[in-house]
Amino acid sequence: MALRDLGDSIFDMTQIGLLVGKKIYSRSIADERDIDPAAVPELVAGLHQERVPAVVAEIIQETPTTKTFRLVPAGMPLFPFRPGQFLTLFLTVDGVRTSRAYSISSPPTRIGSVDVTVRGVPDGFVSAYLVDEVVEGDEFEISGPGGFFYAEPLIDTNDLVFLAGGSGVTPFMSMIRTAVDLRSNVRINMIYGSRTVDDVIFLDELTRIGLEYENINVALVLSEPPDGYEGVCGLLDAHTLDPLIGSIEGKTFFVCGPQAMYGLCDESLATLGVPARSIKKEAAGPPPDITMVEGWPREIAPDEVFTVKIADGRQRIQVAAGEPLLNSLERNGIALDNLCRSGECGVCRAGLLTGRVFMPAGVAVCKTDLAHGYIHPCMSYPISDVTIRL
Amino acid sequence: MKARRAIVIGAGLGGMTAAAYLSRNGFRVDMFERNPHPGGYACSFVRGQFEFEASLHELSGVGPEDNRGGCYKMLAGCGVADKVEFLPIDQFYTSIYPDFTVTIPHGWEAAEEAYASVFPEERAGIHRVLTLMRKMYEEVSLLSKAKGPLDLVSFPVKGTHIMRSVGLTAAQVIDREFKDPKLKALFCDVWGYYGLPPSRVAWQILALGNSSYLEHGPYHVKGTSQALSNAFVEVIEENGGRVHLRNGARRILTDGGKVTGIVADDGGTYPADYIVSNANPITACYQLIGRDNVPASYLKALAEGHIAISTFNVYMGLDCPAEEVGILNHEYFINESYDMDEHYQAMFSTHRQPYWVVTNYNSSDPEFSPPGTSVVVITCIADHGAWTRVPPDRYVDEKTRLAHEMIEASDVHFPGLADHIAVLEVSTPVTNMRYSGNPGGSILGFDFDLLGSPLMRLPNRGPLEGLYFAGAWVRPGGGFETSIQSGVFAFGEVMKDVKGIKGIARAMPALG
Ligand SMILES: Cc1cc2nc3c(=O)[nH]c(=O)nc-3n(C[C@H](O)[C@H](O)[C@H](O)COP(=O)(O)OP(=O)(O)OC[C@H]3O[C@@H](n4cnc5c(N)ncnc54)[C@H](O)[C@@H]3O)c2cc1C
Ligand SMILES: Cc1cc2nc3c(=O)[nH]c(=O)nc-3n(C[C@H](O)[C@H](O)[C@H](O)COP(=O)(O)OP(=O)(O)OC[C@H]3O[C@@H](n4cnc5c(N)ncnc54)[C@H](O)[C@@H]3O)c2cc1C
Ligand code: FES
Repeated sequence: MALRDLGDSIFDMTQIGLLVGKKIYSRSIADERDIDPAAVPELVAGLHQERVPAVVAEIIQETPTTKTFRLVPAGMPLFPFRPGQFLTLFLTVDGVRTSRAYSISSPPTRIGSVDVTVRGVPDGFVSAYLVDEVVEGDEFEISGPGGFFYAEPLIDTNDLVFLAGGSGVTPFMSMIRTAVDLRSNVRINMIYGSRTVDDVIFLDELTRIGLEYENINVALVLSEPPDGYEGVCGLLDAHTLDPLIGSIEGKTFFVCGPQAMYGLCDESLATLGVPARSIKKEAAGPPPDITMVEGWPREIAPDEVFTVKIADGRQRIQVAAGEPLLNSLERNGIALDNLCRSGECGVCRAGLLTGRVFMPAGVAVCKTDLAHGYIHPCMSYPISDVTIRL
Repeated sequence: MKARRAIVIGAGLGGMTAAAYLSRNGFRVDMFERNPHPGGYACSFVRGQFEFEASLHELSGVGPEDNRGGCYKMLAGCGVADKVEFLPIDQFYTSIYPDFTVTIPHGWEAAEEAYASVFPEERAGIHRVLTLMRKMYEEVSLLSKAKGPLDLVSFPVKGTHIMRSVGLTAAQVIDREFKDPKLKALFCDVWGYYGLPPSRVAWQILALGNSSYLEHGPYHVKGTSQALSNAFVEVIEENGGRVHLRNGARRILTDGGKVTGIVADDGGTYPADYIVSNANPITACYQLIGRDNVPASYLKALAEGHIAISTFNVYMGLDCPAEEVGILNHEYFINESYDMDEHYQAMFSTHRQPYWVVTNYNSSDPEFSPPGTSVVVITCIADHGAWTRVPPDRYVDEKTRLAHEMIEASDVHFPGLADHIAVLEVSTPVTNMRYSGNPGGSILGFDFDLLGSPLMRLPNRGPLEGLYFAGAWVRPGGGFETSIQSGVFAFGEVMKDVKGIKGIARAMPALG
């Protein structure tokens, strides 16, 4: 009979020798190698908090459809974050436990609170609730900061071009406010597209900063200008951008806005000759209409209904093809942890055991997960009956 | 027969290995993992168009078809090996020193030639040390092939080289055989893999670790180490086990010195007679079990262990092939002097490091990143203390500064590197702590000093009945091959308790 318990057998035989060795061997390692065993969670929590409760300390009406919510973590210090990052708000709307990501619009230089600025989206499940129902003193759970949409001094230049659309101005607001607070000499040229003057968020503050700081320039672009408007009009296409950007040499581009804007900006920046590595785009979240996204199987209508079976559980739910699986699960009371809701962070990772889903290009599933049938349900749309393991 | 229930806490390499073996041997296994993906350190992450390997530089103990090593055999023994593709790495390591650069190939003779080409006058010593290492390695293989008690009793006679290596640091052997400090440094240059310089690391660790690379060659895994972890999960599930992700163990329940089950993060209670904890023993005892339920002698043993190194990593996606900036090989060890103790001491600060590794993942897998790009990673050894003392609001600046300094330092050897970085991510010991829950973000559990060498390490059997440990912190220690082995050992302990010594022999993989 082979006996192969390697470690054990050597151990038994050499114990005597080792006992002797243990006595002779004196430790020379500095005390600083020691650690308080109970301290690990606290040490990490100082930098990375998963979820914290936060109170709405103040609500600011920014435009007719947009409000800023000033959030104060309850009973703990504010987490550090990088200007440009988002946080996720966890809340219950109409009995459904769900969440949405919002870029932080305040700068980290401000102590004690963070702002998110939310535009009410027509038919929006969460945004409409936030803008219409939430009052000061309400409490939410918020995630720590997430995302990678920030200036990285190690690889980005000191000459930044921000292309903002609509509520996509929020991360830039944090970056600009930080630059102002720190009197940084980084050059910022923000080109901010909105529909009408009424839609422009932070208009007064941006105008003031643009005038006051030599290194910060703000250009508004309106797609539906009022009569006699003298500023720049149109969409953020190459024709509009070219004169506003000037030379592209040595510049780093940041893009954040509604889905439609990404396609347009991709095209215009390519036309202007900007190399892909100089362009950073914020995660976009589910598109308004998934059936318009490249690769969607034409024969499937967004309201087609499929059955989702949860492996190892008894649940079976009916879902619409056009809605992200994560949203459908939540609507049916099935919890699945999540953070970015953009396919980027992998927190919602789940196994697809049978059936097919559509995941748009750019969802950050690693190669081996693709091969083993794992999906990110926040950006997966069922296109057949499916079984998933959460 | 009613299946026995086993719970595995943590889906790191040790935990997954134990779970795979248990599930193939009649246990109903439930594995609980806090993270959304399995693997612990053995994982990857995606940023933009790049996927990064989080940990693995060089996998030891795999070997080609005609010379398989222990790691391969353990993976084959539980059905994982067939589910992954191993990619050979051409060289063992390349060392860059102030006045020479040399590449050490794998293979005993080839390595000897390479060392001797730089230090021809020390060829005899080089030959003696390599021969000694080879004998030690053969003896360990011999031991794992032992056929019965007689073979074991006679081992001290047959295994003389192993026996004589007990209680020696690497420096004690190296200093005896080599004269030139530069040769000593070159010979031990991969000491970072073992977390301590030769003056402190157990000779057995350096000798057997390097032997495994020299004998079988280093490997990587197609699709990163996440592919290895996914393969483990597939095996566990195929054998009826359940892998609970995003659901950690909050508490281990005990009753009269015996474990009875766990309370998971989802609030559920899961009963089991056998619990293998891949969560480190410190957290397991202090947080999960509660110190009052752990024998004082065991807590003392925990307090005696020293926590091994963590790492500082700069993950870079380049917009050009790595060759374009002169990075041709897989693994470069860069040294600014020959003083390894000084290099070790430097890790206690967040300042610029004099000893670091540059790894090129496209060298073993040209498809590692999109065409025309490459993934290159800078790794420094790092102590958690300096990093946890950085105030939270200074943390980003501090890691950015060190990353900048290490990129600049690497750019000296690989001109152009700094200008080709398209995507960048930086991790510190705090990052390691966060993703693994390991004290100090240790990548190797307790230090591989003499008291932490495989034989002296905490055993795989825990302080309570029904509790076992797998992972870097316990026998035989940290690293990929060793952590996998710890899972096999933990499984062996469970089998001993269930079926007695004979049962285990049938279920254990043939390692010899
Ligand atoms: C990283 C990140 C940062 C974000 N930052 C902000 C921010 O600072 N301020 C902000 O107001 N929003 C921000 N969003 C969008 C936000 O997360 C929600 O998607 C938005 O509030 C709509 O949620 P809802 O529940 O109201 O709409 P849902 O009920 O989820 O959707 C309703 C309909 O609107 C569409 N839709 C969803 N989002 C948008 C949108 N942004 N524009 C147009 N149509 C949309 C949906 O596809 C659907 O057709 C961010 C999203 C991400 C991923
Ligand atoms: C940057 C880096 C480079 C490395 N390079 C190499 C190399 O080239 N070669 C090599 O051999 N080794 C290398 N290593 C070392 C190797 O990766 C580790 O030693 C090994 O992976 C440790 O495995 P483990 O079994 O101890 O588990 P770990 O990886 O420590 O995982 C433990 C798991 O347990 C989980 N857990 C903890 N607490 C709980 C709980 N309460 N409930 C549920 N789950 C819990 C954690 O989430 C984690 O998933 C490297 C490590 C790092 C970080
Ligand atoms: S929540 Fe981030 S990938 Fe789904």
